Amino acid sequence: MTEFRKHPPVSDWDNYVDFESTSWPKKDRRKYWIIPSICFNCESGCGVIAYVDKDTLDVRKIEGNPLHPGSRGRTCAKGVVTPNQLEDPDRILYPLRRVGKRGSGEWARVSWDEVLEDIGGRIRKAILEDRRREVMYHVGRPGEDGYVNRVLQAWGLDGHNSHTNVCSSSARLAHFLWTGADRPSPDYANAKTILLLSSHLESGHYFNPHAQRIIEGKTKGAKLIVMDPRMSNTSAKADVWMPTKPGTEGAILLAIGKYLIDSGKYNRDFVKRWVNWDTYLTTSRPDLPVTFDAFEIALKEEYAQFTPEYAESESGVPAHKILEAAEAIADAGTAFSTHSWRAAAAGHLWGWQITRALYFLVVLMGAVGEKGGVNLHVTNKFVPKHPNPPPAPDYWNELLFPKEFPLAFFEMSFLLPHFLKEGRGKLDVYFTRVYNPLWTNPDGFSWMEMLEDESKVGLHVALTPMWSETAWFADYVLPMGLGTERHDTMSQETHAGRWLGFRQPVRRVALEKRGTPVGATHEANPGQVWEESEFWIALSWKIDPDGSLGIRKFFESPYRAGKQITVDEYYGWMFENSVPGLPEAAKKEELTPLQYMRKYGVFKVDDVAYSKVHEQPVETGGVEIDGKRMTGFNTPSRKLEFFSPTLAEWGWPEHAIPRYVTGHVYWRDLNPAENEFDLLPNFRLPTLIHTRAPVKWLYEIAHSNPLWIASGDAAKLGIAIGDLVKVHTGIGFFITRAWVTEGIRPGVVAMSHHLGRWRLDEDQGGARNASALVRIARSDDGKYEMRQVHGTQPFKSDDADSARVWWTEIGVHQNLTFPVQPDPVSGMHCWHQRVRLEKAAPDDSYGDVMVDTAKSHALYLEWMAKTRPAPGPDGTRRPLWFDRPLKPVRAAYDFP
Amino acid sequence: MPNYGFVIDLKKCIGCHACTIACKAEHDIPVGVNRCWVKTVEKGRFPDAQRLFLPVLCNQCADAPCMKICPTSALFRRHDGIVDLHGDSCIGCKACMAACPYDQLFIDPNTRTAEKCNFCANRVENHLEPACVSVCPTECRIFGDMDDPTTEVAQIVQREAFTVRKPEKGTGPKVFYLSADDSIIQPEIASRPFMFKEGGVHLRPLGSKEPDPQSPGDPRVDYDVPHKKAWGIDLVLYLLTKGISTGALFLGAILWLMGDRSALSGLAAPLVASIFSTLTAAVLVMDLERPERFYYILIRPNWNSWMARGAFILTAHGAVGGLWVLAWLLDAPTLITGLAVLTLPIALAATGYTGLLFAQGLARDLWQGPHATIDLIAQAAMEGAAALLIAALFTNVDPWVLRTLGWTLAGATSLHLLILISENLLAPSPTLHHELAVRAIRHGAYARLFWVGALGLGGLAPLALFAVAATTGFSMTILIPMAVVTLAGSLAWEYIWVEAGQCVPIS
Ligand code: SF4
Ligand code: SF4
Ligand code: SF4
Repeated sequence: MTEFRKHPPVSDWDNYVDFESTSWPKKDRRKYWIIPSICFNCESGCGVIAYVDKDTLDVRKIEGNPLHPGSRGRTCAKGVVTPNQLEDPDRILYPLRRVGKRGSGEWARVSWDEVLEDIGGRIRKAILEDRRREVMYHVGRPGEDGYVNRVLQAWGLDGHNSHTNVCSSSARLAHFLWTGADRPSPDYANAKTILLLSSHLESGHYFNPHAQRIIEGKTKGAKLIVMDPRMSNTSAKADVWMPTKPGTEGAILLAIGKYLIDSGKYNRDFVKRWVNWDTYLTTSRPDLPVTFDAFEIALKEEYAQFTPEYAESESGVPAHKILEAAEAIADAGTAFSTHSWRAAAAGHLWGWQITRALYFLVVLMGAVGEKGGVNLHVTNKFVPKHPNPPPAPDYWNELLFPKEFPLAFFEMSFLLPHFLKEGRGKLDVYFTRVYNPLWTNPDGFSWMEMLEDESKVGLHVALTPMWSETAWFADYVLPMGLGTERHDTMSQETHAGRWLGFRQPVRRVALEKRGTPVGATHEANPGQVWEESEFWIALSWKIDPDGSLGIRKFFESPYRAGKQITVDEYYGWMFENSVPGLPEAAKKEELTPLQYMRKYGVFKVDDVAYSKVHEQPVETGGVEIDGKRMTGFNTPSRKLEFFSPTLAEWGWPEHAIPRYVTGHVYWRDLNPAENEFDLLPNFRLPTLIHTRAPVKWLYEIAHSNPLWIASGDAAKLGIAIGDLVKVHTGIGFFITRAWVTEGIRPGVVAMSHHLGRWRLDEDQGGARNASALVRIARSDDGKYEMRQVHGTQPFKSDDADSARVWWTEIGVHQNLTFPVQPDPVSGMHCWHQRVRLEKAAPDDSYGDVMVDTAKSHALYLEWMAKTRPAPGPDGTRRPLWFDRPLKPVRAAYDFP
Repeated sequence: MPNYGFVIDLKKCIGCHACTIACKAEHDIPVGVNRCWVKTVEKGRFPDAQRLFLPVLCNQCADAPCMKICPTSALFRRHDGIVDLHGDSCIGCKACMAACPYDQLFIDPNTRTAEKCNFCANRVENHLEPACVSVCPTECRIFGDMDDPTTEVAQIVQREAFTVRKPEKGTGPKVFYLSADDSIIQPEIASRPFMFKEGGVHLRPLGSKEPDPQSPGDPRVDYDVPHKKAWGIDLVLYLLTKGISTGALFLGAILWLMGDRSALSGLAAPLVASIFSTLTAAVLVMDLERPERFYYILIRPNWNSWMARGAFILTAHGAVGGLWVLAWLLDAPTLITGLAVLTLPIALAATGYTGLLFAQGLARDLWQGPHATIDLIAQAAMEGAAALLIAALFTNVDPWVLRTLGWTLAGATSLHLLILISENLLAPSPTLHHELAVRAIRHGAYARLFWVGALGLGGLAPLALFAVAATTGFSMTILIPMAVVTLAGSLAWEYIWVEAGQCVPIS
């Protein structure tokens, strides 16, 4: 029998001879180097191998790296399309500087030297004039781990801004409040019951690695329970699908909790040992003795209301289904895996309470850190040290963490235009890095207004491989490498094990294998595409050419004193000095650690890792459990915080324990007679979970985002499939088509998140196979009107496929019409929208968008009024134990 | 010798399309066409609605209709059972597309030759699994040697209940599905809307069921790739020109043998036949994606293919017609008599083979009708008679000749009409596919053309005119309109036959 492999064996990687598939069955042969790297198309960090043609040095195809412990040789569709991105006719190959007014679309090519001189000089000036707070870096999915944070720190900045508050910070806050670690790491593959609040089988944070293991677990007999108002692909695979009324998930979760407690099927011992029930009792139930029995009684009383029938009346999910789920969870014991990342948590005001209620079940089952249970991400994600760590910033950036949001889990990124409008500050140099806030964030026209205003944003630098709506409003558009054109390290908590992945520019590696020395990655990249690692080093030297600012030293070689560090040295140092086991493994093969990583692309740090850290004995510190001193969790109490003293002390005592709180779009508040609906705008497709890869093969499959509406609702409104509907939000409306379906809860409408891209110029400014040409009109009082001139059209380019584009309607940019809705605690943008629907009028056309930015600012103020600003009990800006990127020095926490 | 097959466990498929795109990347497949893809279907009422996924690829049929019909043997079977394709031999006649009941063949716009999944034979020879298998996150696709009892594929097929696509076609598919729901694996069941949940619909088959808003839980396709049909207007013209050519020559031969020595049977008939057989050849070559390779069909014929056989028959037919004209010009009546005798079997074969060719188009149930060949003969008689009647305008003919042609036309039309009525209006459909096609003819996209064109102009009108002609002494003023409407009606039916035949989704 022939043994079939999924991939060529590593021994063949340096000289792989493949048959040319396009001339098959002629047996033409081609020679390849197979060079490993890491996919850049989402945060999973899947290992890939690139087939680099030995004659042309082109990347012929991308496959999964079989050695990668997280992705195990497989990728998702987005991974495979990397060559599409490399060859995209609309990618940017040269640095550009705007020549006309910002946003006018006139560009001129500029040299990298000029770019570095100008930006470097400007940042130097800001630092010298003590305007460091005017320099900001804004990143989407980083796809790297700590590199740029270190750069910013070296510059002395508290200037890291991210997209997390439009993504996952609500769920992160919930996990963090419980455990002191902001992400769960479920061990799906070994679970008996899996409960998902996000659609992890199509668009989870670690989609491919997690989907593999969810199905693996299910194949081994695990029961899959999915809560989602919409029939996602994940719901479609569920054994129990619970299509909740949006925002009521907490009622079901607490009903399950109540069932577990009442029936005594929870892990009493674990809860007794590891939950801070005593704090709860002393604070909330002074009437009871401080004993676990009393806690049990108190719990029963606390959640007495949450019968399955009550949960049914809130959520619309039948009580028997809730019981079925509860029993499955009880049966799973500690082999109970859950996850919640965006979905409901990201959708609703108080969404983090939903995730807290979910994690309550994990705690009740004692599944924390167990096989088949839920690890803390810190156990499964490996974080290597970077060379020569700079000190923490010594000031507090109010534009990122304003006093209104002392508990915001990440930067209040999406409020930036409103902050600048209010005069809270200005930006001198603003980097957007593979990030498209104008398109992705709510209230995009306010972003556009901000970016156009040179008094608010002095210099906007877009670091991006592709055009984006945001880059159009930049002063510099600087092309950065794609997944096979750059160096980064990545590690994620994909499963119960740890790994470190190495992304590398594969052409550069190939050239070096061929014996051509390469000084810098851009020499190997197409056009004048740089990689960021080298860009930041070069820029840092421009900021501090003589070292007098104390910045340059962080970008000097650890091996050659006073010389500029190279990427080889940077990562070489990291691999030599901070990855346990890697130097030894490399030595065994007579390689340096860097050579090892270049050869394999990944290093497996642990095979199996379960978070039992909390049980590790310690001499001092930690927490005493049953008379033994143990490490405990990373919370102030070192226990799992059912009762959060932090929330109580920082102004939210009513939220101190997991509660069911209805959100800002509660079904009982909607008026069906007015055709009011709950719009779920944040679901994603397996082929498109971002704006990063608008490429032909992905868009051919999915290219528009009609409004899902239940058949009954549609019938009432007289709407059939394909009809145009007008969707009114708080600040405007948009026009799109209806997708009438049985796959959504009546009363809810839904639209997928990442479609509806546009450009303002026929020939540039966006991927022509993935965007509509639009015109934007604006009135003096801040009213914007966008109309599509045309959708996608076939076009001529070097790629014959451009002329074969057959799709026309390319989606509708719904986010423009969403007001900002910051959760007053987590700071998360609450994505769900209360909308009113009507059939479109004859003069409405597909893709029309109307927005009033004055209204959006007014709504911003309404939401700001919900906040309870710092200082906290100790007079500081933020609880000291809370994580945050670029955590400043202690003194910066005090108000001046 | 290995015999490769696939098992796809639909319980595990999450519809992520990684396989689709890995295949595109492996083989550099252009936009708009696919070797493999994943169809999705929604069915059931909320909250019991379901979404089903069906990844499809070539079945490497044990008895592969695509191979049988391929006129140049471009499609061939490898020693390991894989049906592969020599692009260099492909003339782009699209017959294989008409034959594959699974929609697995397409014309690659880069090479302008047919393409299909070959289980990544290029990888298999390197001991690598096909690209779609290697990429699949959930490992729901299993590849291996079905004849080796130690492989997982063989063991699953042994042990578990599986389904294949359209077993009734008798092709012996080698892709086995676990847990396939009828509503997704039988392409005719689910309705097809005019847009999908994630995008536009391209090339929606016209005969697809439309979703019924009154019955929302019915299975409905909510994602599928574009599907091109094999044949279009060229083939319609081919049917007409060939019908005229063979009909005219056949009737000319009969008249000649009955003693007519006028220029009608002596010259007009073979001239019409020659002109129209040239036109036939021209439209056939034009229809090829690689017209410059047309002669491959003659130099490397696949004798199982009715497309190849037909090419020889048509060549013979054209030759007889040409010689006949020559014989008339050389004034050699004995030779003409000989040619006329020869014409009878050859013209008949040239007419009838098309029925067998379309029947090799196994994808299309409408073309499997038992009377196709008889109907083609009837139509050729109608068309030939009509053509000769028009030609008679330019020659002097005896009234008996006109009468004979009139009666022939009427008789053939009656037969054709009977067949149309019985096959499209009376007989029960043998399959759901056939039913959908007939529904499209009766009240769907082709209804007007059918009722007015095929039945009216091509049936009732000529018969009515014939009645008038017969009672008024077969005057040309009636016969000519009769001939013209006959040709128009024939064209209408030929269009329907080709188009409606291909209007039903087959995957
Ligand atoms: S899951 Fe993410 S990292 Fe993995 S292949 Fe897909 S896009 Fe790339
Ligand atoms: S790659 Fe696998 S799971 Fe994904 S659609 Fe294809 S067969 Fe299904
Ligand atoms: S008939 Fe279709 S499925 Fe069967 S071998 Fe040919 S192309 Fe493949």
